[in-house]
Amino acid sequence: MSERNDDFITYELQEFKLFEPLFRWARKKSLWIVAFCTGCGGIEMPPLATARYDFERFGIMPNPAPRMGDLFLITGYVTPKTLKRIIITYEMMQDPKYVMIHGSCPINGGVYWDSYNVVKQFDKYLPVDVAIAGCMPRPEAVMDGIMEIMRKIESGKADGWKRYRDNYEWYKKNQDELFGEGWREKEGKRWLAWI
Amino acid sequence: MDMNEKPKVEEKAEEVAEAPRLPNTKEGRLVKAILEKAPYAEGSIRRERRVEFKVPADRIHEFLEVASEKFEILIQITTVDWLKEGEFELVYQLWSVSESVHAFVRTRIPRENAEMPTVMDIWPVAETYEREAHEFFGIIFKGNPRLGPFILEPREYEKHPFRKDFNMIGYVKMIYGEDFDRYDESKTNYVI
Amino acid sequence: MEKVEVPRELREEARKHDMYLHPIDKDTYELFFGPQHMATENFSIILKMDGNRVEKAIVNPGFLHRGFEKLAEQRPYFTNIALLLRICVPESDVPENIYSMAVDEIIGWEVPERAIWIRNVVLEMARLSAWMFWIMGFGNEIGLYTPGQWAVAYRERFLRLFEELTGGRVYHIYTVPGGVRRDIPGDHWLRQLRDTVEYLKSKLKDFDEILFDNYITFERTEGVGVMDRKFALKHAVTGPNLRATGVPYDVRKDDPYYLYDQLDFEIPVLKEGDSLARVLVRRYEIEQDLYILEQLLDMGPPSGPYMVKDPKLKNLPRFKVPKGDAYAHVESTKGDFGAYVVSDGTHKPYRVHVRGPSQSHGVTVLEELLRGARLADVPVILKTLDNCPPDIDR
Repeated sequence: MSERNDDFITYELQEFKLFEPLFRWARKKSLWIVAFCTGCGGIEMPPLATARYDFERFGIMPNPAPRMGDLFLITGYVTPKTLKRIIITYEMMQDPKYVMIHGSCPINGGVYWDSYNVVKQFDKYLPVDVAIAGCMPRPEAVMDGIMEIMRKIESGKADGWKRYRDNYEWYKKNQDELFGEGWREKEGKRWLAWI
Repeated sequence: MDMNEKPKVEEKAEEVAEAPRLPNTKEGRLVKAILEKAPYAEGSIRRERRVEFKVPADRIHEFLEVASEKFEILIQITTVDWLKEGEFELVYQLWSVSESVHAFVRTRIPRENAEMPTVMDIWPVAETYEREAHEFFGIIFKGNPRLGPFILEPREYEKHPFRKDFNMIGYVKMIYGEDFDRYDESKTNYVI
Repeated sequence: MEKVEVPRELREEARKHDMYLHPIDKDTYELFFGPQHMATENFSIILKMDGNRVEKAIVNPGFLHRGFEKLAEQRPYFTNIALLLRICVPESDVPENIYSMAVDEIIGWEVPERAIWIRNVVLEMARLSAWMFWIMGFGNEIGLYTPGQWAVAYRERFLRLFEELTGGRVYHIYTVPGGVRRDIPGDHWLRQLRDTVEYLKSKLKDFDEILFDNYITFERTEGVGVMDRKFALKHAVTGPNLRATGVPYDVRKDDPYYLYDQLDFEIPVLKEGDSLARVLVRRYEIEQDLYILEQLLDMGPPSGPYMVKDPKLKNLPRFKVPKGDAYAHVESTKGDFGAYVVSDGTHKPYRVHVRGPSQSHGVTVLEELLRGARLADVPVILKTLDNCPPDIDR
């Protein structure tokens, strides 16, 4: 990015600072979920989205395109092969973006604590805003987590995307430790052409 | 609509008194018919609807070709790693739709540089099973063109993680760091 | 094939930002289908497309691999129940049951009649809830969202019953070697189950009107993804997919377990082998499952204990199983689900190998069926095969 471009963005943001509460309210009320149901927690998504627990009344909608998504649900254990795709999808999402992790497995490995193919601490690789414990979290618990993320958005505490930008070097170092240097170029070559 | 009207064989398997004598049940007749064509194999009946064959590894393809006339479906290929004996045991599990009998076809190969002929030409589905057995145990199936990283990433693929001598805890510590340990209160023993 | 070159200026600009632009063939291109896709569920297919037609499909599984079979070797026999059921998420009772059946066979336990009845009811309930889930998935793929909304709501009724019986909504950890973990809560639970079965039975005609007898379903599925009998047998396709090609193979009839040899039910078989036949076979199976559950409720639970009496059960972590091996399989909604357990006489299994039905119809069969299909048919073929990626990855 050139310097001119950076200035432009800062200038624009300063202009809009006045409207920040309005933006926060709007963001809170229209959380679109990136439909990337990783792991077993994905099975509790259809009950959430349909008649019994119906999360559309809060303005939440599953959406296939990461470019339009706001909320990234990590619904269960993450294997290194998936984590690569998760990181690429996360970086494709527009700021501001929020991450919520379901269940014990992304927090500390859960039942797969000694498995060679499950990532143990998800927040080493991507910033997390809200974590729900349990296996598997009931839909009520997921709703509670979503409420928590709404409260955090309103108070401006859901700043995972800012942390990712500020500490990018640290996150990138952890990712490179797991996947080896240059994994983006190897894995994401074809993807990057489309970004 | 066409409903199932398959006749069901009602005979019960009698207890096998001596191993070489086969009872006159559907399992017994099936084993007898196959052993006549393949005298190099050993056959026995485990219980109702379960039969077992032991075949030397170099004639496995020949035997499965004979067996495939009676057993239409290859259910799975299980590899068991007998570390102390230094052998891999391959269990080809077959199912006969016409006779409703499940067969284990067992064979043993040495653990070092394990090689087997592929059975893709008999059952094309063996491609997937063999890819898995190759990935997790490192057995090379000659004639299967798609051996390589399938489910695993290349780094884990090189380790062949289902082998008994793969040290999982050590590997996990090396890859994901040490800070996930589950010690008991005295911090000396692992607790599962 | 004519290649379209990326303009030089664009290429240089891209290189400045560490990007790399591929020259693209004019007519063929590669399409990455999944894992970030609603139809595939953590499963990736690399499609080589020629316009709108699939020229070649390469299945790329492994996003859900956790190494179950290795982990099961590290844990005691009873702890494994809490692990292995995670292989099949929509009907988690199936892995529990096959593992328990195999361990029962190695030990030689006679499971009490009451436990067998409860296990059978639980399996049929799991089948019905998985069918409801499948209706949602299939309906969503062809753009019919209403039946999915209904089906998931009806599934909730079964989940509520499961919750009262076992304590868990999705993962029950209920069937253990030697019986089940808890008894039936009471007669009110049986009454509620009967109500649910009757309720679902009355709602089946609504599904017929809106989904199974619908013009859209016929248009989208007829003649799509055809396989014949010989192909299906050679590729070890089982379950409804095999029955849609005219082979009446059902584990419940051909290798009866639990009470199925005393129950009266039919196996629906169709001959066409296309997606429509697979959908309709599933539709008839729902009816048969409701009928089976009704019969089981008419039988009523036999009295007696729900767990075997064995003094060894007092020390579960050190519970030892004699040497031996056994294979057990049940009919899940996806097909023949089997487990092969080898014991070497210690308190941990020596080897557990689980055979998921999608292992056979989710890799080679899918690749064959997708060849020549239109892009819009890819999710339809995926859903009518009822591909479950955790079966393949494990």
